[in-house]
Amino acid sequence: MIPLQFKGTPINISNPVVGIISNDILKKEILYVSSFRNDEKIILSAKAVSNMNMGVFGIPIDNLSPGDVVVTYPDGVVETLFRINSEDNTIFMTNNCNQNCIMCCQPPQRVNDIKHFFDINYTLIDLIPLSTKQLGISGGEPTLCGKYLSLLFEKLFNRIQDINVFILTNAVLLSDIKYFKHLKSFPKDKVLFSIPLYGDNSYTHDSIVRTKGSFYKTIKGIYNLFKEGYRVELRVIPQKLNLIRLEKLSQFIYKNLTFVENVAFMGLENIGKAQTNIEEIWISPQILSTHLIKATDFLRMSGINCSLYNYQNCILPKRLRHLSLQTISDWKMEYLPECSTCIEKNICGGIFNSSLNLIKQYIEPIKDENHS
Amino acid sequence: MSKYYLMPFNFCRLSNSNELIINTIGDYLILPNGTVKDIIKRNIQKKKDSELYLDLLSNFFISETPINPLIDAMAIRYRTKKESISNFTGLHIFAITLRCDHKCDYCQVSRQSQDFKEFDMSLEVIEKSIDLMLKSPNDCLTMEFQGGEPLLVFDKIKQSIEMTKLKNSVTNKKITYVICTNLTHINNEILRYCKDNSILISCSLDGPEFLHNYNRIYSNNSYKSTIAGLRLAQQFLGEDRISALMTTTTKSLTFPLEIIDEYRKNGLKNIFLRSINPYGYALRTQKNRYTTKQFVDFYKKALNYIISINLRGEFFVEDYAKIILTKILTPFSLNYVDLQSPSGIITGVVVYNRDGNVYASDESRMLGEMGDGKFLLGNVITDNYESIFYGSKSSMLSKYMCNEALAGCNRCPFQIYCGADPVHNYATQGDLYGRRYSNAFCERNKAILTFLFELMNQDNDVFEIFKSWVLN
Repeated sequence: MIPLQFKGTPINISNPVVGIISNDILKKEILYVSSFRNDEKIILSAKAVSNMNMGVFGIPIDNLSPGDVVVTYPDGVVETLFRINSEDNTIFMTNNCNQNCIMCCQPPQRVNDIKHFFDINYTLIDLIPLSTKQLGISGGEPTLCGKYLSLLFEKLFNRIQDINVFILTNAVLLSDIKYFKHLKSFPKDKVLFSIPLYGDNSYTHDSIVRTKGSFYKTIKGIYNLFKEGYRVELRVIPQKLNLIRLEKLSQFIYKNLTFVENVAFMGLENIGKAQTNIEEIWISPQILSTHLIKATDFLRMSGINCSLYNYQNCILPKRLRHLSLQTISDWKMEYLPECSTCIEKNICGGIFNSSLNLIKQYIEPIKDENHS
Repeated sequence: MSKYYLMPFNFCRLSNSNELIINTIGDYLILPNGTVKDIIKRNIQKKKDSELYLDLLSNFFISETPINPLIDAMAIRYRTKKESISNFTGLHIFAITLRCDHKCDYCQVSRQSQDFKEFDMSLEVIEKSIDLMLKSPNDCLTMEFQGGEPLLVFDKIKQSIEMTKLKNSVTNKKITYVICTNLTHINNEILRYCKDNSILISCSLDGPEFLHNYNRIYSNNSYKSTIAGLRLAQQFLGEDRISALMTTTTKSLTFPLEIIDEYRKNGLKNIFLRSINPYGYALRTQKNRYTTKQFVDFYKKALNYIISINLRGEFFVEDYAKIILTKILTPFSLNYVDLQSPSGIITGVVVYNRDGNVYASDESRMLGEMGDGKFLLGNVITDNYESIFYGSKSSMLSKYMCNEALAGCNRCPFQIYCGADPVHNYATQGDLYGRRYSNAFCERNKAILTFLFELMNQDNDVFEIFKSWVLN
């Protein structure tokens, strides 16, 4: 796991400052951050430095590399926004959400933060390398940002034409076709809408997102995206509340949403609301597997791509392993010590560091190819 | 009592104490006897019958609001099922000669001896027919050469295809060429041309030698020359470029297993179990008259055998079941013109006869050759595209082309999977509308559909096999 947020002691920082870790490292323990806006230099260091005009000390700077983009706050918090050596960078748009999912790993907050994150992200886009291949957009619910989302995409695609972007959205606001004016700056072939769908009916889906009416709006939003020619991926998190209808969800997707590019079944991340509600959502890998097999078999037979995210190879039956992708962001992924003896470690997605305690008991290193 | 609204659906009982409900977009559920009554009486409760309630909701049988919130999704589903009509006529059959070297009893075409060249299509008719074909709004066309025996006039086929290619350089349609032949005249030169032009070959194979030769009468051994031609074509073109078609005669009824084994023996991976149309020249002799029930019994035996073959791990498909199962198990339909509503005549297929007459279907042409021009839409020399495809004849026929609007079909659970066949109605019952209670088309399709549902419901392994035939 790689920490992305640090708290140190601030010196003379009056506003949030977005900047890039510069290449000229004077000493091993001192990094310069070139602020983008006004050419100031901010010093980040592990220890207090004499004659520090502006900076934060008490920061474990080993985790930062030249080219990373960080934001420095007046209270001494330093947050990594973009990691130059990672393919997993995600732009965080807001803490607000119009749903309240029972297993949300990033519980929503009602705070007035849309403009704040927009300002940070708007600067961030100027600092990321032109060679960036992929970027995620998440929140909260990014579509709540409306025109700010639009402005951000306009800038992003003006700067990097062939970047691939995926946006995690519940598509509820997209049920209103009027919203699509905010998507004008989205190149249709470069943006993938990743949309959670948890059930084949309103009761199952809405009981998980805990917002009445969501199912119908999400489906309508998906149809609107399809009609307008956008690309859609569905994300399903199998759990106690939707497990027995998981295969029926696959059938519903095949019949009614045949046009989706991919259906991803995703393992729970035991953090945030999921941690609080774990009793209501958790299912053992054995039970999960039988349902996953039926749901994915049906989709694959029907010619719809599907994949598994966030699952460990050793808890999956052999026939499902090839569907599993290494999708846990590197900064929150871990292996157990015994994983070093597993022959599939290099193709295994690893474990959410938050879920270690839950999963640990099921982990059993794969020793030979016949492990089932 | 629950408060929910019923979406339109029909139902019937299956033999094994089950009820089958099917809605307007092709979703179905198999339920225990008595459930339909409970649904209609609003006795299904969200709390008590949770899974059933959610099944009904998820499959568009009930709605919690007067207008289903997913009505747009339903509209797309409906359009997808009926997509074939939005493309308009895709299959253009060229009856390029009436001459044939076979004298099969069941031939529905008024076959002529192979020496009379006046029964060939003239160049003028060929050209005018091609012009009409290329006027179709459909971007993907199939140009199918039938006869008689089309390979008796291979030069004309070549001329037609070359002319089509030239003219299509302007219209830019994707054209698939098919030759329907008995293969007696196939040779390397023809096959080379077929290969160069990606032409598909469809041949007739009725079963083992004794049966094939009994049905298909030829001066030499028809079976031997067909099999030799099949081998040659498979080697030359590849197995997937050649298909075979069988016709069920009274004699065939006794040999379902032998017919299927003959197909397997010859490297064919599928068979279309086709009944004889119960009208026209095919019924000249007593030999080919059998009841629908006899055919259905034959079909069931054959299908059960095909399933047992699949259960042993060999992939082998019955095409008629595949056409129907595609409608049942997928959101789509195959472009099969004989089982569509609106009917596939004109909207899916037309036939250009060698004399320039344009007919609504192959069966219509046969009636025409027998002197009944009921389905004669016009002539390529004297009429234009509009008057043939949108003229008064087409307009008159279209009133009988939707099973949604035919008594008997309107309440049939299978309506969305089935079709309307005014040609069949007219030929067997004397009017275009037909009477479902004594209609062979209706009897056959209902029996086969019911059989397929019962098979799927009884045995999950069979269901898996059916899925493997139609999905993806």
